[in-house]
Amino acid sequence: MKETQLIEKLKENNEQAFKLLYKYFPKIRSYLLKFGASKQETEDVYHEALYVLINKLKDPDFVLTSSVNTFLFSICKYKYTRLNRNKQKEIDIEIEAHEKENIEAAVQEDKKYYAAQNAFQQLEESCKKLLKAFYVEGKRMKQIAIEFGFSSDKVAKTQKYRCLEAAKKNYQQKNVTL
Amino acid sequence: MRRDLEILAQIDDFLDGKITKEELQNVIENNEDLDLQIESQEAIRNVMQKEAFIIQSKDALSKLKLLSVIKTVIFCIVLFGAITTSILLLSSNEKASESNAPILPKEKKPSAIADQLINTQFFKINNSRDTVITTQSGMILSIPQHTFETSMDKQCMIEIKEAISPTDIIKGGLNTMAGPTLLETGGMFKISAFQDDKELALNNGKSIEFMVPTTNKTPGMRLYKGSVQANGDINWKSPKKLTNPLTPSDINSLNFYPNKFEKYLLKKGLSKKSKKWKDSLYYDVTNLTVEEKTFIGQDTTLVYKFKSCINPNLIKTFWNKKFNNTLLATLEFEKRMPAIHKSGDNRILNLYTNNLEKNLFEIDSMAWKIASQKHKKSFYYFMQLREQSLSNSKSKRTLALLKKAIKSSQKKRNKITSSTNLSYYRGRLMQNDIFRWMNIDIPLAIRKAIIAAEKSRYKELKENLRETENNTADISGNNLTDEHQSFNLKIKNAEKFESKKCFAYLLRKDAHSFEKIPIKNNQLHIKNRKPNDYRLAIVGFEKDKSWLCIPEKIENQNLELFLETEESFTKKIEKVASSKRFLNTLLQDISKKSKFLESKKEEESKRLELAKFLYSSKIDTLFNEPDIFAFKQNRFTVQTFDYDPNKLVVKYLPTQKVDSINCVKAFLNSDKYEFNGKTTQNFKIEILSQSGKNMLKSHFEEPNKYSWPKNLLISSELRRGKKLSKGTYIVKLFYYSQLVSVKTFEVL
Repeated sequence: MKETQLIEKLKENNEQAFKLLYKYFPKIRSYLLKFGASKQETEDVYHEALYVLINKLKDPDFVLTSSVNTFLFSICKYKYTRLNRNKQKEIDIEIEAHEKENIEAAVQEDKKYYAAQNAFQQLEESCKKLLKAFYVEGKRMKQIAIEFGFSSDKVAKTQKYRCLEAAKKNYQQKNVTL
Repeated sequence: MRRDLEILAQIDDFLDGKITKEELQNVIENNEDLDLQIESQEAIRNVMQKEAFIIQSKDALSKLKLLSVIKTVIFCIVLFGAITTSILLLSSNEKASESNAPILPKEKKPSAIADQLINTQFFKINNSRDTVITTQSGMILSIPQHTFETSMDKQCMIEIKEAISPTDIIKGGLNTMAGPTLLETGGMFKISAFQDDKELALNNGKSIEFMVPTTNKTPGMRLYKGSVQANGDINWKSPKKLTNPLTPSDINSLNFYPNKFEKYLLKKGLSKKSKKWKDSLYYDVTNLTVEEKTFIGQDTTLVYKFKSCINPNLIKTFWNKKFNNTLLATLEFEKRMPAIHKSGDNRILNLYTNNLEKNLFEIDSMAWKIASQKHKKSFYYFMQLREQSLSNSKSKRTLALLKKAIKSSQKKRNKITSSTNLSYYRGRLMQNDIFRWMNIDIPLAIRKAIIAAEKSRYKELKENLRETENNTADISGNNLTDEHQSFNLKIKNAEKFESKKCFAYLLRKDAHSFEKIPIKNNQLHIKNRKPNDYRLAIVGFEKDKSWLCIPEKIENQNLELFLETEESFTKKIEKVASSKRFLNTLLQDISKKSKFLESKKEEESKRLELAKFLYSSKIDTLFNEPDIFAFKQNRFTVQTFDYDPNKLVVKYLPTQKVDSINCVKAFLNSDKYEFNGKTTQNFKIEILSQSGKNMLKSHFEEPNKYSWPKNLLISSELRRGKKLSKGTYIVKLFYYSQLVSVKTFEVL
């Protein structure tokens, strides 16, 4: 499959196309392994890079200027250096000039993301589950009400928004302190 | 609902794209921190989505890992399958289905249906080095360095799709049409090269050499280029003549010794000595003066006759690396050496060594002219191969790679030879199992093409069928006769297949051609054909499953496709797609030209005779090791009899009873070696008196009841009225007219 086709398919959420993205993984993995990344870390970093790519592709204004490989590669490099900065590890991966553009996309996302992730993690477990059931698994309120033991879907809905509000508050505080 | 919860719901709607920002702002009057609200809500939602995404993609990766493990296993199996089927066909013309040809990467063409149906083989190559690739069906590609146009000398990915066997061709939905003309094919291929997903073109002046194994080097094959039609089918265009360049090899890896020298070394356990050592021994034999010598052992007499032979010094002059990249350092020349040795004619060898700039077949024809009557046929055969000269010089490394590739390709083919699924294509020759029984490798013939700007090769059927029928391949509507009819067939379950995945093939009985006919609305129309000339196969593909229908006759009827297993599909297709022409393959084609086979009665022995000179380097292995062992161990005994041909009574006589001996029998009394029934007639004995007079009438058939179990009986009647008188006699045992053992016996 040519790269343009691949990108079109990815935009259509084609599962097959998504699997094809793993063909870039071995190269990136071996690159990161050379810098002392663990296998788990390489996988994590790669999945994050995939997420950035998929999300970017959903943005109609986004134009991929480099090849998919280069894009993923630069994101992975960046993510890995960042991961190690968090761990206070010294790491020196050179990031080439033409990759900067790709990375900037990720940097902005990252700051917000870590704050939001923190905010979300602070929620009670039941709240997290409820939100995921609605936003990720796409369950209907009636179903959620039954699964979570609420008396009606209205109660479930209210509860869901309470949780969301709590998360947002956490986030806004975090974001201010960042 | 509380107001702030309502705001959350509205923001959700906005984030889901259900309402616009203006609508959102209208709903929420106090919108001071609306942007912040939106941003934080989006961020929280993103966290959840990302988490879910990562869980999913991790899951996908682990499945992928598992899949690739399974794939490796499947690949091994598929690999074997592919070889088996490709060997069936082996005549080769190549083509490329070229929707994405590297040559014209900029042109956007519709994609061929075959692209979806045929698996791709991937090869990673380094563009800065010479590379040799062997594909699954044994096709060999030689790619010189910097063949592809790319500024970076990085790894390139070569993608090859090949369809050599009828099953592969039909499964690939390929056809063999050049406009209205039906072509005959032995196979098709497509090659493309990529670097970082960018398709590469060939550099100017660079070319890729292809070698495709075949048992049937039919002349007239051409290379066609595939052009993809709007409907996904391929139309074959712009035929080019095939070049027939030689296959270079490192000269020091070739073998120019006479066969008997090799045998001698083997016998003495010296075969593993270095070439240098062997050379010194061989060049030492130069001054051979004795013409004939007889050794008489205790009960064995051997007669050696030294015929005129090639002077080893002549070979010494060119058997060194200086002659690399000349026609002498080719596999083709190596094949001629046994014939040259056999002729014993130094002039013939000189022809080859003195005409390095000529095409090999030109030298063959010169050799044919001067060769003695007995040896003419070998050189006539070589001449017919029309092997030309070297295409371009190659580095030593490439030569080594090529040699290895050819060896492995041959190995693959031998594997198939020994497998029980012998092909229809190898016809009666193989059905008689002579080659298999004799443990002879089917010789590896190779058809070669140089692919520069063209990629397919085909033979025009028209030309080929001229003898048999007039213009049968022309389906344009001209020359119609009463026998031409049109048919309408209804295929009941054709609609269950995706478009373009269900179609029919008209297969000519007399040619290896594939004419694809679409099925529309469950209807199949066949126009203006002689139904008796064709077989019909209707196929449908659904994911990995193949459906098939092969009607007995072509007539107006209702048909239905049935699901077949992979194995039965292949079997049925191979059967229906085998043309008569291919059934009689190999030797019959050659025989027409060389006028060898005069009567079909003695076809088998004639074939062997032919095989002997065709594969002269191989025929020495007529006896496999156990055979030779059996003969050497004196498991051959001679007895004399009184035989009454009228009553068919045989009475054993001790050799003393001189007057009554009129029949001599030889027994190969090996209990270790099981001779099958057919072999008896391949043995012959000859009884010579001391004066060299042949005492025997020709060999005659003996009913098997006189032989002992597991012992092979060869019997001979003396010439009419002859009796063995007192004296010593030599009994020679022949196997396929080669002397294998000699014994003496005495009549007292």
